[in-house]
Amino acid sequence: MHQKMNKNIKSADMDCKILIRKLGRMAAIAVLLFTWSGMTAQNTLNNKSLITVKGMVIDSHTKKPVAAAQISDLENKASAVTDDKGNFTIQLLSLNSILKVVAYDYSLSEVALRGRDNLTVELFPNQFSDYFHNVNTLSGEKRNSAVSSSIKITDKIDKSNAMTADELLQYELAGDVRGITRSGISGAGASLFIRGINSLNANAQPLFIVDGVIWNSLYDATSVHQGFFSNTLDNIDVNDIESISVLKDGTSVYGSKASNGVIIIKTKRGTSPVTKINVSALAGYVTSPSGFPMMKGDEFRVYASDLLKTQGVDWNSGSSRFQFLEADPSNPMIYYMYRNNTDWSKEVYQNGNVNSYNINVTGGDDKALYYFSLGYTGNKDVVRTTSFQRINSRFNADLTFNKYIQMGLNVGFSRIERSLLDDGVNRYSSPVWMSKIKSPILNPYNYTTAGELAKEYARTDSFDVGNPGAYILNSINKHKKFRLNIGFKPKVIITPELSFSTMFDYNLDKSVERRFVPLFYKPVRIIPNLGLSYNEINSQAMRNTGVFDDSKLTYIKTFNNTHHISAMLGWRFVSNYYESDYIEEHNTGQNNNTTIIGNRDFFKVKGLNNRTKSISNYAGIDYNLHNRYFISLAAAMDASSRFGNETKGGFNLLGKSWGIFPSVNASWIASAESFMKSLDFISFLKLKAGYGVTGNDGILDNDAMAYFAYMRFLGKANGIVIANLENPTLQWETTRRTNFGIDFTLFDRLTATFDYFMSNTSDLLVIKDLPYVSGLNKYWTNEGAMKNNGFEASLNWRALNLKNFKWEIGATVGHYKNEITSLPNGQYLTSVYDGEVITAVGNPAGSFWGYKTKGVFAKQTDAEAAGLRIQNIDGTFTYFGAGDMIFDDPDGNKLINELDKQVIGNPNPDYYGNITSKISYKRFALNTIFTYSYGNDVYNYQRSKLEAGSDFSNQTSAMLRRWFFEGQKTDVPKSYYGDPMGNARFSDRWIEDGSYLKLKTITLSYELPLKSDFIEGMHFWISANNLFTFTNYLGIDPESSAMNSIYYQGVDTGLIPSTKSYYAGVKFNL
Amino acid sequence: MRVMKNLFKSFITILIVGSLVTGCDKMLDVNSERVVSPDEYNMTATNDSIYSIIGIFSQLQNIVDSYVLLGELRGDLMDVDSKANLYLKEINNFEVSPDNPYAANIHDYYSIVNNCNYIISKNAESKYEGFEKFTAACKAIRAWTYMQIALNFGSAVYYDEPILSISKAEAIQNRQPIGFDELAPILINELTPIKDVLTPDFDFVINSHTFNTSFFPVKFVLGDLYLWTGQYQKAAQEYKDLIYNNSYTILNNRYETNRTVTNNAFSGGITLYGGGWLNLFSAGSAEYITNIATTNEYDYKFQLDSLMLNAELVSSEVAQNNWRNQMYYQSATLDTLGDLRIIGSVSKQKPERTTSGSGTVLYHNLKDFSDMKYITKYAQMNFLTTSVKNTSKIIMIYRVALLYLRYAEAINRAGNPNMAFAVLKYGLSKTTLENKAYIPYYEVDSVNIPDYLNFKDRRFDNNIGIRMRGCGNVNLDTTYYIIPKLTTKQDSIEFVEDKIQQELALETAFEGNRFQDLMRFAIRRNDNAYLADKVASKHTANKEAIRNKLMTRENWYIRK
Repeated sequence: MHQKMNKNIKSADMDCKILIRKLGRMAAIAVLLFTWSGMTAQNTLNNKSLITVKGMVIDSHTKKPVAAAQISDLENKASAVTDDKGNFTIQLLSLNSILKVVAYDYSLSEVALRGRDNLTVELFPNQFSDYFHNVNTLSGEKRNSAVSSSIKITDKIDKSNAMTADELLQYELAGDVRGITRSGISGAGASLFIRGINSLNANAQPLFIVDGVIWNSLYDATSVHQGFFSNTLDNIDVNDIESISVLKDGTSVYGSKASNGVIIIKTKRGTSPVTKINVSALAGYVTSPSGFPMMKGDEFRVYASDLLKTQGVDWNSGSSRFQFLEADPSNPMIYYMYRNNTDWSKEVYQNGNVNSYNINVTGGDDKALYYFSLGYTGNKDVVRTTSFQRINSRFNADLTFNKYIQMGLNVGFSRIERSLLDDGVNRYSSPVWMSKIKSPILNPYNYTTAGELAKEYARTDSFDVGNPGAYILNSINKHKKFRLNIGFKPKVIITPELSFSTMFDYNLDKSVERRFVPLFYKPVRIIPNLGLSYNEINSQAMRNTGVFDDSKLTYIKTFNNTHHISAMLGWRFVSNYYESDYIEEHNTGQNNNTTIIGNRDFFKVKGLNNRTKSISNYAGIDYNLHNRYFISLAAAMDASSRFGNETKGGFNLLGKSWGIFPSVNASWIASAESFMKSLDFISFLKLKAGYGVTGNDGILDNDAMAYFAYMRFLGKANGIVIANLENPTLQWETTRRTNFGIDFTLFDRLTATFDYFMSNTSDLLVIKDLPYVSGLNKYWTNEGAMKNNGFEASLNWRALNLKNFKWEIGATVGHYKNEITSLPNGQYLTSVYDGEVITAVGNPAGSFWGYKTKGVFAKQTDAEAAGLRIQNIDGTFTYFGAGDMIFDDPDGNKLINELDKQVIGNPNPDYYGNITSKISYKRFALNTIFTYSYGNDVYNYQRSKLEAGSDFSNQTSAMLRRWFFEGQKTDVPKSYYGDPMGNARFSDRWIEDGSYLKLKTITLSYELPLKSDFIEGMHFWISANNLFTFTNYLGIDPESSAMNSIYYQGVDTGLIPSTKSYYAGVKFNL
Repeated sequence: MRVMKNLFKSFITILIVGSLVTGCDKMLDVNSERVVSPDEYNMTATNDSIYSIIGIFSQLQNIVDSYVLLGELRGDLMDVDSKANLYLKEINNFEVSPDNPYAANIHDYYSIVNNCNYIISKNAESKYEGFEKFTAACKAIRAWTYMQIALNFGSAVYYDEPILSISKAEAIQNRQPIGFDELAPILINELTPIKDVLTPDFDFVINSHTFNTSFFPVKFVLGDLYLWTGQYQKAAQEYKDLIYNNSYTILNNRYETNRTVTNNAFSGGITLYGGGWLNLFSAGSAEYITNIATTNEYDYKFQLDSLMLNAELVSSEVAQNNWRNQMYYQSATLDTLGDLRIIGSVSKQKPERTTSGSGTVLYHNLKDFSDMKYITKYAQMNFLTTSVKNTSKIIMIYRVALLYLRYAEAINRAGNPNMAFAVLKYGLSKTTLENKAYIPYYEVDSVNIPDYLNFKDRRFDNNIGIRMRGCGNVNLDTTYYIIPKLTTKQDSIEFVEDKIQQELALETAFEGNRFQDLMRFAIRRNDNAYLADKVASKHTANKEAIRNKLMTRENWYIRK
């Protein structure tokens, strides 16, 4: 025992030595840097004479002087104020200083002296956005010009109709984050990808940090409601958001959590003791989606009778399927039942509305500042009975106890209740889908024997399609959730330079879901190996408890006005306990039996209890010389309960495997150098470079350890079997990213940023075969690699700056090229909604894998000449004939099978981003945001069902072009019951160009000219979303993301699209 | 400078202290209530052992489809219908592709092995009360599974420690696989010390499946191992002990099916004693020794009944002729062709799903046994209902008639062909043993009878011949079903062995044993044609190709 302990201590000691050696290397770099800076510092100390700089501040348009503008150097050591004539004089240490100029109603400006002692500063009105604002970095708020990494921020969140932070990102930072709207329901949010695709099978979504706390985004939690994703960001009222920053590199402080990029959301806080009350209200109207052009009644009748011929059944068998051919009005019940022309979309859609109110109060005194808000949002969504309601409240306070002790307090609460319906392609439970495939010749109501319309709803029809309206009325689809977080942030100021703070947060997410699928109004479903399901009930409860603590020492000091150092050293602990319980049973017998009793058919219970813990020790140093040269070093050392104990990429300490994630970023403000004196037109120029290693710990819980699982035996007894083998090498995915960037402003008017990145992700989590002797099949291992190269650019042009009329134009573009560079077995396929996605070396992730088509055989002789055939399940062959698709046969063996599949599309766009315009005229402002995506392919899954021509579902009017007679030249094959030749199989027929340009949102606002003691300001605004979309896409909305997983991007599963919506809002400050 | 140094010092101190405090095992420890870690599952309570054994039963479910298909479809009795899926056709033609789901499941077999290993090793550590029974049960299941692996795939990787890590799995995978000849002594050594340990008392019932029949008797598996390795007396002794200890009998009035005779003539009717031979497969039958219970509920994939329902699998013409060509003997003046065990094995009509809970009754016009291609044995075993709730399905592994036939096979080769023949024709009992017309003195001395031949106990008084269940009064037959006067005893033994082989086809067709039975006979006789001819006889178009293929012994095994 003693020996064993000694051994442990010894090995721990060894581990420490290795660690110290590694850290020592980092420290050496820092020390070197510091010595060097110390030496240069001494030089400046010697010539401590002040230089007088004179200047003038003028308005950029009128060229008139700006009075009372504040001028200061960046250290705030020297400052000046302009006089009536706009003149100022300031005493500076160096002619290479940078001046900060602030004036009321004007944008902030930073001007580098470049050796000049006399200068004129032109200020632009603050209707224009400015480059020199502050951004949130991982080491706190910083001037944008002083940041070496690639960060974008949106902080003018005002008069927005967005419901969630991810919508805002899509509007404002579309070139920096690729956001794909999940669906058109309220607050559905978007799947977000920063700098390409950085993971295949682990979490590929960015890290969300809200007020310093990592949020568990629950990205892989599934809902009982199909097509629905419970977006964690809908817990935050957009009115409470101060700013959202997107961090694309230099994120190593968040080590193993940061490889997908980091999104920092800051909520509002009290900033001044003056009590301010802000009230905003918003009302909106959401139009219902326009459907596909479906076949009309008579067209369907012809189609259905056609199909009947191919079914090979006896016309006289008396099956109810032939009732629609009833031509004899003397049988009125049947005759009239099939003599309608119903627009089924009217049965499911409604116009939605939006109502949102928020009131917030800020204020306090010299000891305490607070922000308190209350919000309510109540939306009616565009499918009948669906709705969204949210109540939210937030209380943020900052207390100063004394010179040494401060305390921050964050409390957030939100409660959301949704009424939902299953969505997407699903004939058994999605009423919207039923409305698309429902035959128009039927009526929602039954006919009496006398041929009169009864009040009773018709049941599932003879074409095996349910009744969407009746389904909606009898179904129950509730989703309720709430979130509570309580955070404390005590801070101890040890010396003016050194402080210690800890951010502690407890949060609780809970959701309860209930789903009842009614009888009669949906088709009976055969569950393979189980039996018939007439209807079902599901219930799910989910709870996540998170504990977060981030403690750090911060040291900030400037030496000799030259060397600016800010360093931090900290420790972070994240613990999440996730529990979910799911119950399902079938065949309730009646529609009023909506509770689960536990002994109906196919009763099923399953659940998860996952506890995840991770620890990170981190350090960061930012060094800045003369405010022109910047270098940031950061490193984190992470361990997680998800990792094995013998990881390849890490080192062992105290029985755990730790990963190290360092990064370095440097930048140079070239425009502040004196040699730039002559290049007057370059107002600002910064060059950046960075390299960083980050990780992705979004892998499965418990996967590194051996465990057993319960197994139901004959549905009654429990057995335990070995379910997973210990895999001590399981670890994080590693992303190494290099970044080069340039930010510049020309003539004070045109600001551009450009970042080029190369990132390599290794240790990709991929599935691999286990040795068969183990008795298990597959395991996860970190053996894949891929790269993402690309760029992001943004452009901002102050196009017009007239007296009353200002116009600013902006554009962003993002581009990445993703390529898999290594996989243990070279490639694998993932099935995605009847299609397949290939993951193969040399291809981008998510590539569609299917058949290529070359039209339709017009004549039987053509088909015979081609001689293509398929092999049936029993081994026999069937030849393609006239009216069948011509599939490409790359292996030339005339047999169309798996081996003929090719890459038929790529859902990754070439370019994406937005184009914005801001026009202000007097008190009016008109903001327009277009978003676009170019070069991405979309798998139109819903069209593949609506043009399959293989069953009695209603089809789109494209099916009117179907092959019908010998010799007919067309692009749509014949309809044939059951599609034995697989004409509708996953092929390039269903892959479409998903490029689009969308008028995402347009807002016109007006500020009331008020001179009142009671009301400080009042704004009215109107806005509209999705007014039009330019696209060749045949579906309704080319923006489609079926799930968060990267394999499901660009799959249109028929979820509710974003529709046109109109809003009016008012906002006033008291 | 100093500040920086101090800063770094404190950084490192905090890192180390932080790690010491936080990074130690406890801080990152997570446990789940849904999964069980090896620490939590160490067989210290009887409950653990019950969970564990049920876990193994659940793993056995995974191999039932392949057990039956590899055992029968490669034999002479089961065939594919033209609409059968390609994978079934592959098995039928001995052209199994690597992705054939019925054959590419070798890891399912090893899953049973590995789970058994875990329980056996943990039991040895914890030694809870009654652990021996669970250990013995696991060892029997493991040995049976290893036999399946070696006989189906040609060789097996033997290991008896649990695999709980990937590195261990890789190490064991690198071991040299061993053939059946090498494996069998290891398994015999394992089972011999525990052959008298009883199976655990597990007398509860789920969905009419009694757990008592989920266990594999050590003696049966051991007997099979002896039989395969040519240790016939030992095999006979194990089988006999099992029969004796459990009073397994082939009784008159139980599962017997006779033709109705009126006025010394067959009237076309059928008398079903005790429900008739087909009832032998119904729930709770006394014939059961071991079966694997499975279900198609709870997403469980059990395909065999669907394959039967869709008639992708059918009986071969050879199998049907086997029954048709047997002589039913009523009396010296009254006999006719046709073994009545054809009823309950095959039928003219496709089994249908019925809504009644009592299963499909498949009687036919019994005068006409033509075109009976559909297999009904599974329909008898597994009620077909639309309400699949509470439905369990079973696949027979061991049953009483099979035990008697294996016993007959053993004593025949041990030098007692007449007594072996008596198992088929008369039934083993005191009267049979003492009847010198049935078993001559030189073969069995009924007074100084060795234990492995001793069936003189009263419990066997009513035993009848297995064949009497479907072929009438064969015991009276002196014309058709007799051992002819042959020159040598060896000839008699081979004659009787052929009869046993034929009886296995009549009695246990489609139950999964066939291919292995044929392998055993062929290997024993060192005559590959014995198997090749039998299997080829089922084929029509590619008869020669199949025969040629099977003349090479490597082709008897599935390539891994």
